[in-house]
Parts: sequence; structure tokens; C-alpha cells
Amino acid sequence: MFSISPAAKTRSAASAALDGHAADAVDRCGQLLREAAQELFSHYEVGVHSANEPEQVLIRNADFVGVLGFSSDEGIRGTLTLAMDQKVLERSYPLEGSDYSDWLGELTNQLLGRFKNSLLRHGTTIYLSLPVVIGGNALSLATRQATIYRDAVLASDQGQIFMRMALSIAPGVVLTLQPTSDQPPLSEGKAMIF
Amino acid sequence: MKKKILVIDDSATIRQQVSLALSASGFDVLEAADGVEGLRMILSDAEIRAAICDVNMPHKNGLELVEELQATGLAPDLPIVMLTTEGQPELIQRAKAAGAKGWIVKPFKANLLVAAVKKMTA
Repeated sequence: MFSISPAAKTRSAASAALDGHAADAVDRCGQLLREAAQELFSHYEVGVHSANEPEQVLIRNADFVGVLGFSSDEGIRGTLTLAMDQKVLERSYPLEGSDYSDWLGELTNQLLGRFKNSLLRHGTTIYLSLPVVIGGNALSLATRQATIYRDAVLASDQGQIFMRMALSIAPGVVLTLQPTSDQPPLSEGKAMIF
Repeated sequence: MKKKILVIDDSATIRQQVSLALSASGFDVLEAADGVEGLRMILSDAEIRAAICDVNMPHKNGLELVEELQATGLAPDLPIVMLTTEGQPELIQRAKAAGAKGWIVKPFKANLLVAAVKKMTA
């Protein structure tokens, strides 16, 4: 079981301290992450749509959480946390006997990779670490006041998908997202033969 | 005799997906879970005809692997295609400069992967 309690969804001090432009940029990051997730799960033939963010998130049939860290040269650090109903995992990779904890780590990796490519198109570069998968009977996330959070819940016929982007932005650093004319990243599913 | 292809990725499910795609097209697929193991297998098995290699891996990442092969001059004729979530142009250029033969961004399409491997092992 995976859960987020109402107390843990309280707006953090760091989130509350964001000014208009910074809050907009962080909100935009949340939107890009949601879009990346919808594209990723669509590729794996799991139809998803945004769900209203509930007061409390409770996914009963979830024994694993994927976590992947990232950072930038400009003083932005964060993590992506991904949890989903076991049936969503199985639907996205319907090969019996598969290691679903490994697959969750790989989905977390592919989701953050897609998010990274979106940020590249907006002039921001992040570096990904390696995914970690945590297993347990009753997994629950806490929040820290110094961290900025953006949560998203997606719904599918197989169950819920929860994503949390947690950000720390160094003092004086301004996160801006502007479409760039720099060479775009190679898109997901594409191949380049040299 | 089936052509041997090495897939190097820290994700067991990705190795499984690549193996299934290539096996179905008549290749014999070996697996390595990181760059150190991948390098060891490349240097110890002369029958490996090509490698599919992830970028972000523990111990030795994929770019370090291709750069080490280039720097040491070992396995100079082994075509390596990177298979990764990364699409950043600078990383692609780095792989190309180190002698990699291609770059595929995950999630991969099996027909593209198979076509690339067939081309490189022709």
C-alpha cells in the first residue's frame, strides 16, 4: 500500500515563499511532468488522464516506489517519486514472471528522461542519477518545509499513478523555462545512425 | 550460426525486451548489467558482433565504456549502439566522437532496433 496523508500534502514553506514568476516556472515543470507521463504510459498502451488531486492519496495495491534524483549546474536539485497500482505496472509490461520492481525503476528512469528532454527544449539541463526502487507494506511520503513539491495523480482503468516532483532551488537561483532555439534533443523512440 | 549481440543495461526488464526483440529476429543475445561487466564480455568473447549499450549505469557508464574502448584500441571493429533515455545533443556527439555507431532513445521500437543491428552486422 502507498499513501500520502493530508498532512503531508500541506503546502511547504518553500512552496509558499515562491514569487509569481518562480511559482509559474515550477507549475510549468509540474505540467511538463504530467505531459511526459501521459505520453510515456500511452506508449505502453496504458490510457491515463489527469485526476483531481485528492486530499489523500491511497493506492492499496502498490508495494514499490521508484525514486530518481536529478541536479543541474545552476543549483537546482530534486527527485521524482513514482508509485502506481500493481495492475498499471502489469498492464504496461504484460510479460508474466517479469521483475516488476525493476520495471518500475525503468519507468521512473524513462519518465524523468522524457521530462529532461522537455526541459532541454526550454533551455534547462538536468542530470539524472540512477533509479532506486523501495519496497514495503505501507509506504508513505513525508514532506520537508525546505522543499518545493508538485504532485500529480493520473487515473487509468487499471488504477492510479502518483508522481511527486520535489525541488530544492539554491538561494539566488531563478528557474526560468523559455522555449529555446538550441539544437533540440533526439525524441523518444527515435534512432540516429552515425 | 547465429550472430551474437551483447546488450548492456542495468535494467533487467530492458535487457529482457532487447533480448526478445533480437532473438525473434534470429540473433543470439548475451547480457551484461553494467559497463564493467560489458567491457569484460566484449574483451573476452571475439564472437560478439555488436553491442547495445545503455548510458546511465553504475560502475562504468556507457559513454565511459565506448571511450575506453577507443582509447585502448581494443575491439576497434565492434559496432556499438547506445540505447538510453538521454536525447541531449552533446551526449550524442560525445558518443559519436568515441566511435559509437548509433543512438536510440527509449522507449525503443523493436523494428528500429532490429534494423540497426542488422545493418551493423551485415
